Amino acid sequence: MTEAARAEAARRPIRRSLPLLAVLGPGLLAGLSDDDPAGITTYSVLGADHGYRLLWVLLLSTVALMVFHDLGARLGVVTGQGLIGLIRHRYGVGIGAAALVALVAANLGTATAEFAGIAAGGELLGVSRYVAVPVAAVAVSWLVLAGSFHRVEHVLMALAAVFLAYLGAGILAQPDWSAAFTGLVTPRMSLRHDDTLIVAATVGTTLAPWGVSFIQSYAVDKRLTVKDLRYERLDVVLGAALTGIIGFFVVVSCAATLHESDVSIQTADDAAAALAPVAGNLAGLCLAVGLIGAALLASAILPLSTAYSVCDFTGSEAALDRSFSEARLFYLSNIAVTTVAAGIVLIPALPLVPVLVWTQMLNAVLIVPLLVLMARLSRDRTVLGGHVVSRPLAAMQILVVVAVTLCVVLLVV
Amino acid sequence: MERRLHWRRWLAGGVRLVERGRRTERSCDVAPGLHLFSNWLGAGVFDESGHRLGWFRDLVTDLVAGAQHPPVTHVVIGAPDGRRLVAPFASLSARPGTGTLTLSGTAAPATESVPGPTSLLVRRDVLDAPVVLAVPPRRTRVSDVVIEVGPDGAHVVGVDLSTSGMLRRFGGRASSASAQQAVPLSEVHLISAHGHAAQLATPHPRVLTLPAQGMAEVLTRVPVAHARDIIHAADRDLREEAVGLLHPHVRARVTGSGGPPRRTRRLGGWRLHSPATHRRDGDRE
Repeated sequence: MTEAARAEAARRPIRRSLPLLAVLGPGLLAGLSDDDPAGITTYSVLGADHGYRLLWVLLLSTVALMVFHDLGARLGVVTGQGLIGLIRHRYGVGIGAAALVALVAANLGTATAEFAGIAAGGELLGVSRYVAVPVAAVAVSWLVLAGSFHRVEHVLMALAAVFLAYLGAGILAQPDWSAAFTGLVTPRMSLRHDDTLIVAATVGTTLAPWGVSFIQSYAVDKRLTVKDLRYERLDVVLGAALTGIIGFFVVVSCAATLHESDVSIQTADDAAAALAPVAGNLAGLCLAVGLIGAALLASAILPLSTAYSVCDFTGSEAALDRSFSEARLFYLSNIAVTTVAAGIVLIPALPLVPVLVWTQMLNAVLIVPLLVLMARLSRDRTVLGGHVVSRPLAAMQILVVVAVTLCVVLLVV
Repeated sequence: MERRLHWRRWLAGGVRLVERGRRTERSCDVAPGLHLFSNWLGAGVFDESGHRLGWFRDLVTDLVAGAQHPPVTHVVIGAPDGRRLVAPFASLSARPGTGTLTLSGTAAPATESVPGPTSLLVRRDVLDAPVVLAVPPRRTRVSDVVIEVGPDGAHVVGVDLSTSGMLRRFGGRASSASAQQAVPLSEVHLISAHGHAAQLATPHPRVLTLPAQGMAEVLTRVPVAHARDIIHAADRDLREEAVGLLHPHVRARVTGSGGPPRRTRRLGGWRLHSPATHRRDGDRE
């Protein structure tokens, strides 16, 4: 082999991976933003209260995430429409409007939860919420308003790297890896209220309505084509797997420390504060930094997801590469959601907990009809033509829908 | 207790909203004049002896038979057993005093070939579908379809793209149509898969007769696969001029040839820059 041939052979794997690198984004961002403060709180409580025992739920919910994020990306790439727009087109303006209204309300509540996470994380690091929240709101609005599609995507991906902090927290906590592995692959649970509630919450927090609508709209905005679907699937699997891995590390760090010391927690910032004396200041700091990063990422993506959905429904221009004058509704919706959510968090003495509980309930109730509609669309030849999902995948979707419905019933009852 | 009442009120409101959108029985009329297509959707259809055949579900319109105002050829009826029946639109008439429709003659089961390659199903391919307007350049959605019934049959006058047209559909009552609010179907490019293919399959699709700047605006806004179809079907000179007006990133995306090497180009991005926002190749400072 000549020198040139050897150099060419060495370059080949890099060249092969370039299309994947170019497609990376929708799956990673939609997946990782699911590990928002609400998600981290749920995983922390799962680990602190139940140890490694219910880790299998995380594995199953990660698989459910892969199935529906893959479907969202496929629907977006093949039809060129976001989820809410596609629902309006296929099922009529009434159902489309009902889905939009519920999604906007749920997203507004969830965005409030993200800014509450920034406030909590900031206070853990000694920064007042009256500084942290406005600065974060301005930063995420400016990013979306001033950045091109690629600039926004690169910054959000860089922000997602902060999730490595959770891996650090998990390793520093020195968990029992064999017990963690056993918990991951051995499904077992009692039918006690505590167990059923945390299982439902874990599934509910992993598969969120805004996540499935975001991935579809974002794939459209990224202008992916049917040829890119193969790589996009890898992006989705990678994003969902990383979401699951981060959740796993949060659970094991809390299981190895707080569960062993019999410390009970209510929120993720409780977990970060409680972790410091048990596993060292660095572990607590990792969790706090991870919490702020997760909240920032989600607080950028939630208004974006809402703006995409509003414009999908009305048919207005919705693209990060459009200027403000070309896509007024898109940017105004984004700014409105950010401003209202940040404003709610800053209202003194406002009881945030009922707002967050109602939001989670709304998310839980909304996800079931959205998944049902997506599953129906996935087998609809008038919508997807030759790209309808295979029967095994359709069966898997039905299983996920049944499981999520059960969880929602358990959560609401 | 009070909390439960709130829940019920919200639930009832939501159900009412959904029901309004999915209404299966509507009062309608096919008398000569202008009509909004959404007012017809869901109306009951009966045979001459008064037996229910099903509900009004869709219309077939032939793009070749009329470029500006394509004629409505068939009506699609959803039977109670889930089948789709097709009958000539001319055999449809109003049942006096009932707000429903009578079909004289027989309806045949719809086959895979309905609609044909140059025909559209108005509900499936047009209503609520995203479309691209060349002048002024923008992407929007169809709020309603205006249909004119005359002595020589029915024609699609155009599509209503206004927000008020969409909001009117929530009202529940039948609304009146006007020709002013309608943009001719030929002036918009449909993004729905069959709509796009059917428009391109007609002898002189509007998108191929646009000036180069207009075509470049459309190419920037439609999905990549559609843009490639349009380029493939366009006249060579026009195609070259329109492609030359595109932003280099959009051009690289839609042409699939020339420019930087393929993989590098993919990394270059999917930016959606407008044709007018960049300097054309060969332009001087």
